[in-house]
Amino acid sequence: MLKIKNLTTVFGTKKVLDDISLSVDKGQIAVLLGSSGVGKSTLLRVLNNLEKCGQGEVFLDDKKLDLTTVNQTHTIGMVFQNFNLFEHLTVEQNITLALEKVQNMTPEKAHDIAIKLLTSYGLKDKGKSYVSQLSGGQKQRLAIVRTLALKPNVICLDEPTSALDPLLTTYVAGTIQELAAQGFVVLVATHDVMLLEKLSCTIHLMKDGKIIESADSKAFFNNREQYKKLNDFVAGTQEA
Amino acid sequence: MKKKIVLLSIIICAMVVAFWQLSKKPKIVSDDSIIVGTNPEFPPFEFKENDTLIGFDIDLINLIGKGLKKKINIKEVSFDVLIPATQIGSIQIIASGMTPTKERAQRILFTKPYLTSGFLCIVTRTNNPLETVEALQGKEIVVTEASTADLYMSKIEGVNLTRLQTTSDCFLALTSGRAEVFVASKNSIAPLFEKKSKSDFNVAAIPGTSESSALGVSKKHGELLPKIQAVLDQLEQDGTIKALKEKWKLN
Amino acid sequence: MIDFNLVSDSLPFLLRGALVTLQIAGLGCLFGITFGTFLGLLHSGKNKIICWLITMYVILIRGTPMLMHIMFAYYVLPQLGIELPVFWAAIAAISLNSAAYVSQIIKSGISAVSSGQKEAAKTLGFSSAQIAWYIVLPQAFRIVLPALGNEFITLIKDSSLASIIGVAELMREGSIIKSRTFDAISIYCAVALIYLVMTTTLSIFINQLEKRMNRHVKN
Repeated sequence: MLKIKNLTTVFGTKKVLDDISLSVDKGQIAVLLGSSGVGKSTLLRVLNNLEKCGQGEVFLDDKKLDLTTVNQTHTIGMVFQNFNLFEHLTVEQNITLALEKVQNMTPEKAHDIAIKLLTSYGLKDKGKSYVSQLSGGQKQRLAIVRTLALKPNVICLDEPTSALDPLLTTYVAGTIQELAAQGFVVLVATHDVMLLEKLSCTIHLMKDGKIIESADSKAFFNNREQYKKLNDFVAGTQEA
Repeated sequence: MKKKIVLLSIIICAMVVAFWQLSKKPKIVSDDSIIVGTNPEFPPFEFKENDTLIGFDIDLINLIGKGLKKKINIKEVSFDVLIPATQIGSIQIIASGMTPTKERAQRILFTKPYLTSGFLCIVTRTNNPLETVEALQGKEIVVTEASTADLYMSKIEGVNLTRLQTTSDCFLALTSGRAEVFVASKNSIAPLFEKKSKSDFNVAAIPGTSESSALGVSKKHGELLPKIQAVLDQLEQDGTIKALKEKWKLN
Repeated sequence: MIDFNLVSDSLPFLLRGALVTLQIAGLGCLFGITFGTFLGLLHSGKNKIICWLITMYVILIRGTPMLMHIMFAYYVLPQLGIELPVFWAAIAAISLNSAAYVSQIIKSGISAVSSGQKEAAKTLGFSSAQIAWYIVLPQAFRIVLPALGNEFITLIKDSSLASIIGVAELMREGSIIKSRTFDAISIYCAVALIYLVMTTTLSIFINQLEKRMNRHVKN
């Protein structure tokens, strides 16, 4: 279980994350919902040591996490909005590079792991292709696989549908649900209500760096009026 | 894999070149040899034929080496590098048809001139001949930089003087029309007219002028000067220098 | 106008000089690119003092003629006790000169590599050095290869300045023959042709290299 306690992050004088607390269990999906600039991406970035933490604590299975070591220990992984794949490497190399150079695996073992993962995500024949030859959906799968290969406990996905064709939303939701089923702690930052509708998760609505309302997704969609702020947000987005 | 092969072959090539160049023995100052600096672009004093360095100065310096019982190591450099290199001592003797002047004598030592003849000449094209220094007023004149002609013409007012690197460059300026007049010593243009026809050119001597050449010696190796002078005096006395001048058609 | 007999007689010596030209340009380029990449990486970093030092270096080199750098290497180094053979003095000057230009070329290449990839690499656990070596530099080099190729070709031409300190490269070999024969036109035409052959061959080669490296990178 991932526990975030009173996390506060300041950029200059602005509090971009204000006393954030939430828990996510293994196999659960937590969705950080909100419009641009509320801090949902920032939270994911802080967890991945891409921004300085500030105040607060993060626990994994009751053990306190030092966020500065999170990359090396491969505790938390990140799938970026723009995928950030390594353009000069083949699909397979995108996966094996970290395995070989960071985890010091032999090339053979790294190759095996890569092939297994590529196969289970429908990219088996693309091993020798280059990133530029992949479709948007394939790129995202590669980005996920690249992170998975290192076996993190927590996977963060930042705006997973924004760079893709809206028709792929169902597929992305399915993939995210799959990740949870495999036992990962899954955190998703998004403003895409269509994606939200297809996920079985805990929704945390954010505004001005704070979580202003939380709800179980099933409960919310069955009884929207009970969650006024969430409902306002979802309705507002749907109107737009 | 391919990238590694390319990178490796580049490094191997570089190392081969480096070792080859490093194996060329650098000319260092040592007790049994003398480093002589020259610019082999000045026939008949020093020039290269079929890759061999020859000329009056070359023969002379080899004779001096024999006289001093030291090996002569000749270093070829461009003319304006000669004096600075001699000042820092990486060249001990300059044998490059150099004219001794007061300014130069402040930076290096000179032997007594071994050549003090061969008057200066005015060279012009036959269709526009000029014969006297007075006639040069207002004309475009070209001289070889730092030659005796340069020093002479620099003192004359009212002329447009251009200095070029070598005799050959000056000649080209004259034939191409960029200069009207080329002033040089008779000795330096003699080889010119062995190769090119004299009929297109007019040569007039400037009376009362002469070219003088001396050997330069580094102040850091000043002890060599009297020894060299002694050998020079000997060669002058026993007629060797006269014979050399005849060989190279200097007067 | 052109004495072809003279040219054919002189060809062996001119080609020998051309070989030296290639050596100077090649080694100068190699050292220049190595040192320049190192400087470019540092210049893209966050240490303000180092950035300032490198900026000063670049301004100094780019603001003064290469001829001066060669003269400096020839005269000043011996005063400091370092007596290099002429060939290496020329290489030292040319390398340091080239490194200044290359550092800025590399720096621009590095900034063209998306910072997103650097972030992704960070989350995967790569160290800064690993990110530079495996992710940033390979892509930066691909991007700036045309500019680097240009630098090499420029060095082939600039190596002619080494003739001033007596290095027996192509220009000097030509000059010596010209002084003896008084035929500047024939010799300089031959010299120019040889330079042209060298630079053009290299241009074609670099073009091909570029095409091969970029066949799977769409812009």
